[in-house]
Amino acid sequence: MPPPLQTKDWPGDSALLLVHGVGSYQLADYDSLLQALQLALGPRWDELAVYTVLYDDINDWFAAKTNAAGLVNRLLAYLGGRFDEPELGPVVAEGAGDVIWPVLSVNARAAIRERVLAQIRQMVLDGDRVVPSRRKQKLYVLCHSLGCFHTYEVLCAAASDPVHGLQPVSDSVRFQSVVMMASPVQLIRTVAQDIRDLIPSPLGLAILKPLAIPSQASGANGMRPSIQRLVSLTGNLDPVGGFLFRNQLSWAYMNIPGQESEIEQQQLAGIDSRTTLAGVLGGARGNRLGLPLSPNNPHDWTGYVTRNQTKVAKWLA
Amino acid sequence: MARVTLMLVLWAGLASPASATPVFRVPETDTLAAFAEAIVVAIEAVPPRNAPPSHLGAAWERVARIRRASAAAPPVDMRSIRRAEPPRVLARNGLAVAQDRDSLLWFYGSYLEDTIPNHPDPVVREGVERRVQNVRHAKLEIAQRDGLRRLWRYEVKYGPGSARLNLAEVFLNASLQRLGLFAPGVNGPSPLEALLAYSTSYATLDDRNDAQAVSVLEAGLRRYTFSWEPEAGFWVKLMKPRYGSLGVALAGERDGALRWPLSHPGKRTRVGPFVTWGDLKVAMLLGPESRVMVSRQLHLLPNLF
Repeated sequence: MPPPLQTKDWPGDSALLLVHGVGSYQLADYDSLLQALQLALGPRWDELAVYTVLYDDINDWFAAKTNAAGLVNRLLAYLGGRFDEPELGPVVAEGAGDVIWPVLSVNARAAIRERVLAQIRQMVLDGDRVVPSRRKQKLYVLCHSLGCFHTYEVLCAAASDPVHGLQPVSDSVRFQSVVMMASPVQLIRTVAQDIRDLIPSPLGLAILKPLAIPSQASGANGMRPSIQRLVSLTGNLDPVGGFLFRNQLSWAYMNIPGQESEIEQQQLAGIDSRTTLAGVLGGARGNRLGLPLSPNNPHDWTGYVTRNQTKVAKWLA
Repeated sequence: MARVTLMLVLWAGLASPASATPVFRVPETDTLAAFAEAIVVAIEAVPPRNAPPSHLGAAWERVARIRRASAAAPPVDMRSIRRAEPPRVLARNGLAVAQDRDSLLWFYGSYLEDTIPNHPDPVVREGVERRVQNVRHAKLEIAQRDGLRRLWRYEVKYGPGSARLNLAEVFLNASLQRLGLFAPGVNGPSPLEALLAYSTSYATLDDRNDAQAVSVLEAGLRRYTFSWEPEAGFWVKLMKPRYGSLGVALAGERDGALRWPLSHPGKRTRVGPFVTWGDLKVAMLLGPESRVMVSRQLHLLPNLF
């Protein structure tokens, strides 16, 4: 049974959507993140209608129907060569395989896109009841890891296709801020370009076009972005975000024109070498359901929020 | 063989209009008419001086079309058109009105939305904003309904209980996603799926009425029924299964399990049609040693058969 769409009564004029990354997330897995956000935002938390979207069941549909996820990961083993590190490369490539395989199934990514779009639409419909002027609705998205890829694809589709009813000019749906934590958008873009011939309908992938803040033509000459503030937060120990042990990888680090870039100088307990980092990343992948949730994992979503409370509060103000 | 191929093509053709016809989406006519009048009021109240004449002209044209559509008797709404018109006409009319609506919404967002809130007359200001919001809300509700319908279709085709694919089918269908008939579109996934399987689970009665297993190579198309109702009763599910298939079955010269069906020197391949109705499969091998065979849709070994 797929998770039902969430519908909420907005306590104020603002709503926040959380989009998770790789792993078999359940609603309860958001608990620690919600607590960290509540702590970071203080009284502002009570003004937000907070939505969470779950889509891993759709990944499961395709994995069960095709038995192909493992096969695709093996096909992508060459990815380790892109990370020029004998100790970290294989571990990182194994994780990157998880974030690449949705681009190979046009139906998988279309279904996930529909799920996230449906939750955004429901959020705006709920907002219409309380804040009838769309210009006064304050919408936020906070996404992590693979969720950044899906969010980017979703917001590009929303801004460009009137079918979704979420365009910034015609429908006046604009996001105050979209905060992407440990975004693999550039990593996926690079690898997708490498394997472009294998990708069905590559033109339908927004990440294969030049990266840009999603927007809609406005008036005779202008463009109106659907996001007023796009923030990228990545730790310098987090390979999914484009860093390999404090070295920024230009081919993997997301740098969309107009984004605010925040690079966290990560100092995490027990990580003082490439070997220990490889151990933590590999261990995090092997935990229950593959969720990247452990305090000293540089990729941990809750960790990002906890260590950057002031900034998160500013972005969601 | 030619007849089977022809049947397959016709059947696929019957499937295609469902995926090619866009979902109808027009808000209620009275909301739309009020919106068009609000655009007129807004243009007169705060003339969009930065709008090129071509954009302004196009806006007036859209207003006139919506007025005409609204004045038609009976009202041109979704239900009345649905009763009267075949799907393609319905879609064309619906799309035309939806495009007029979207074009006017774009015009308002581009040239009027920033100035209307500053208009001194609250009747003008609030009236225009309310009517624009009404049509935006109605449009979003329709978009949500259509989006959930697309999502449901993905679930029917790929969700739990859908037919599992073997390795050959995974690659075949991944390749076919590039073709229009198999690619997802405005209505969600294509209802069609290619089928290429080696089935070892057919059973038949031989000439002495002894039960025999037969291994069959199947090639064909599976079609999903997006109006499938998982909660329906037994008889409804029997009449309207989640999927059905049609194709060509090939078997070896003799009955028996795990026999290679394609001909080799001194042997002959038996050929005939097969159909599936939900999980039930029936095949008929034609020729001197004709057979009627039955089986179930199942995967004995993942990725193989």
